[in-house]
Amino acid sequence: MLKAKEIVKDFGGLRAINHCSIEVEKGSIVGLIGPNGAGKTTLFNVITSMYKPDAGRVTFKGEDITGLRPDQICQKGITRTFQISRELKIMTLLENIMLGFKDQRGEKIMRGILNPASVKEQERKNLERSLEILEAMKLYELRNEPAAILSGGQRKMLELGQALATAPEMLLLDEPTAGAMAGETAMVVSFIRRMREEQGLTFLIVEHKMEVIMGICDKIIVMNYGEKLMEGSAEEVRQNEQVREAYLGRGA
Amino acid sequence: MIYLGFGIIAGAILALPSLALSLLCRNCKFFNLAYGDQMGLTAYLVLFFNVSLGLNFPASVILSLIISAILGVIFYWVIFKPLRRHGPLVLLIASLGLAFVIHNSELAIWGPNPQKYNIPFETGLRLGPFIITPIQLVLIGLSFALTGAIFALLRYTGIGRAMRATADNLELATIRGVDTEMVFIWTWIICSATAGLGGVFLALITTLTPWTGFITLLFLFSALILGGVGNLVGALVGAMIIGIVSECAGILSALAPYKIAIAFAIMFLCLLIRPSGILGKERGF
Amino acid sequence: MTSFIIGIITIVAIYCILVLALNIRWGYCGLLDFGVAGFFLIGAYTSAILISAPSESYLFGVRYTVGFGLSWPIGLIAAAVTSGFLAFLIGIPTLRLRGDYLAIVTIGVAEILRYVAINEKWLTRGVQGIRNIARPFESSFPAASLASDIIMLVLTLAILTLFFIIASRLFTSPFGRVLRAIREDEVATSFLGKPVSHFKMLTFILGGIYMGVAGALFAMYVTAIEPYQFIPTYTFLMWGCLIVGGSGNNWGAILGGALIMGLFIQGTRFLPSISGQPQLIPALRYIAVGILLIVVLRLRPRGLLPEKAIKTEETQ
Repeated sequence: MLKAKEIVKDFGGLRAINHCSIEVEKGSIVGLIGPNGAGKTTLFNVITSMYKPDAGRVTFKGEDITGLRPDQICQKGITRTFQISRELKIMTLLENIMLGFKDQRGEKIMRGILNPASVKEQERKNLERSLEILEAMKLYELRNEPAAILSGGQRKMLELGQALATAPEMLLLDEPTAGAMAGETAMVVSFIRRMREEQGLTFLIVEHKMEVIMGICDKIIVMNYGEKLMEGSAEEVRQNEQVREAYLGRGA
Repeated sequence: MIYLGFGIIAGAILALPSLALSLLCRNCKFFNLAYGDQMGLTAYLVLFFNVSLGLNFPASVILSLIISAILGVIFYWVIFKPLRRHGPLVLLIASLGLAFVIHNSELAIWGPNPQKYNIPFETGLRLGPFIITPIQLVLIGLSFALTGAIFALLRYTGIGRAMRATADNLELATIRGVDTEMVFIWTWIICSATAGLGGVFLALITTLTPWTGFITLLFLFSALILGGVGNLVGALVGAMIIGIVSECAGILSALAPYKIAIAFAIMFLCLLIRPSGILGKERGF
Repeated sequence: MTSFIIGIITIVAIYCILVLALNIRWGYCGLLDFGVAGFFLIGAYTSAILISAPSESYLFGVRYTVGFGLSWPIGLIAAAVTSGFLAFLIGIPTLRLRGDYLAIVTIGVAEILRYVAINEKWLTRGVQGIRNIARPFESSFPAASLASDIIMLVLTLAILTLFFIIASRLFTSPFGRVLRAIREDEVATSFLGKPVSHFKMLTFILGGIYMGVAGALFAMYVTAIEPYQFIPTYTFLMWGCLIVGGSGNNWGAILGGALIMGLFIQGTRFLPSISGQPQLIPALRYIAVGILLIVVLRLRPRGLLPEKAIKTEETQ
């Protein structure tokens, strides 16, 4: 479904990604791991167009999406989350989720002003769905509170909820369990599994927590120094000598 | 040909303030809209010492520069430091407020008419088609010297390195033990004093009214953006280009009052085609 | 006396439209507009040129007529169109850059427009300005009469109310939700699939339309405009009104406008002017506003009436 071919990205004199190619099949959960500085988040950023690659192409469902604007990429069906979650603190949780829905008629300026029945109807539907999502994320009680009050793990859940509202076909999650406590980590893991089973979502996940990655991923891609070191199943990765070396001294 | 000469002089007048403004904006991470009026205010202070109190010109200038530097630090302490946490846009609004207060204070105290200093009349030296007075020469020389001094400061001194580090990455600099507070204070001292000198120069070459500072500000920002925000050499380059082109526009008399519009048109085109400016990095500050 | 009070309310209402427009740009969307006076000017001059009676003018020594004597609705609409178009032109390069750039460009554009008004005498009669701008229904109600003042007041308040309603509905709509998101974090909003520049441009243009119409109303109210009425001071005063009244809140915009433009500016008109220094009192007023702005930013940055939190209605 998602293919990144021969991506190269330089920052000043530093080559952050060096001819890296990865593929993610539809309906799979793929993990992206590697020591700090390996280029994982940078690769995410290139795929979702935060940066333009200096070389290489990114295709999604056969269509070339390299260099499109970030909002266009989201419209195509890829939504990403951020390492440090970027929820909108001043707005309420409910508003944060409602923001995510695509094709909102009320976002057109004339319809926004006139507020016809069609807009009201869609808002109502989106509201119901938002409440469902918040319920699933265990955030329902806080729905009218500003997002600023959430804890680290809760912010991640909100961000996931927001991503879900965009009705994506594929989710790129950047360290979804960072800062989460044990219970919250389990929630994220079960969420990912459920979404794949119930809605056929495809996932590409950057993670540092080995038990998470090894537990849910069909395939794991290992990066080091901006290159793809290897890819394979959890077992294969665990056994691989080079992977062990790359992580030596950095803890797993 | 004469216009080219005027242009070079205009560029030279703008160069030092552009450089200092670029330094200020780069270190403090916001556009200071009160800078032009800081220039004007110092020029008016010189007027006060020189004409009202009767001091000789050099003494007036020195006193005024010192006061300007002190005022700069006061502005930082009272206005810009406490508002820093709200981000660059709020700082911009506050600087506009400050510019407004300074402008109207000048208007209230000295009135709207152009002012002149009390300096002995000097015959100028002829340089081709131009006449330059000794005072102007001294000021041009001082501008060059100060420009060089600023670059030397940044390159070779401790405080200069501290400034560069803070401008690049504030958090990292703080972690590494750089005294960022001193960096900010010194930045305001240097840039305010330089603004003052630029203002005096302006007042000598052109007229001094409460609007002089604000109008100069527009030229300065055009220069900054053209040269590349955050790039000091770019500020100098931008200043020269803006100076030359806007003066040369005077060749067509229909365009003469529009010098500032020309400067702005250049800036506008620059933003359209290459927002990072001639020498700028991709992301501004 | 009545006429006087009606006049003050009218002019304050006109400025309130400007503050409202600024609230849409800055309060909702976080766009830094320091060129309010420029949009005001273009609206005023457009409608003045179209409405005022034909008169002579010279362009390159050739006699020329300026003023088309058209009716006031055309003046209003034309003002809205030119001002909105100006917003579009400015917006193309600047909205995709950081907010500071918009600030600088708008300052410059406003000043340049003023220079054009001063220098292009063939179009704007330069420093003398355009006079005898017709008020609505002038044939039945001559400009100097109480009736005309009342008509002006009613028209202004009607437009202010309409604009207020539009702005409020926009704020609570999904469109407004996206604007508030953009204001807080453009990048995150973009990654949620919203075309940020598009939203910013629409907001900017809407603000422009408001300001242009305010300009047209102004021209009709004062019946004579000249470039000095559009100096950056007025932009700054609008910011003062918004910050003090409360940015992000439409009632705050009105309150700020009423307080500063009404109470403060008009109210202190009656202080005796000090002979020989006609500039002193006005300058002191402006200094006070400037200091007030800075004080408010430091002590109560959200202004008198803070932004209303949105509670999404749920039906169980």
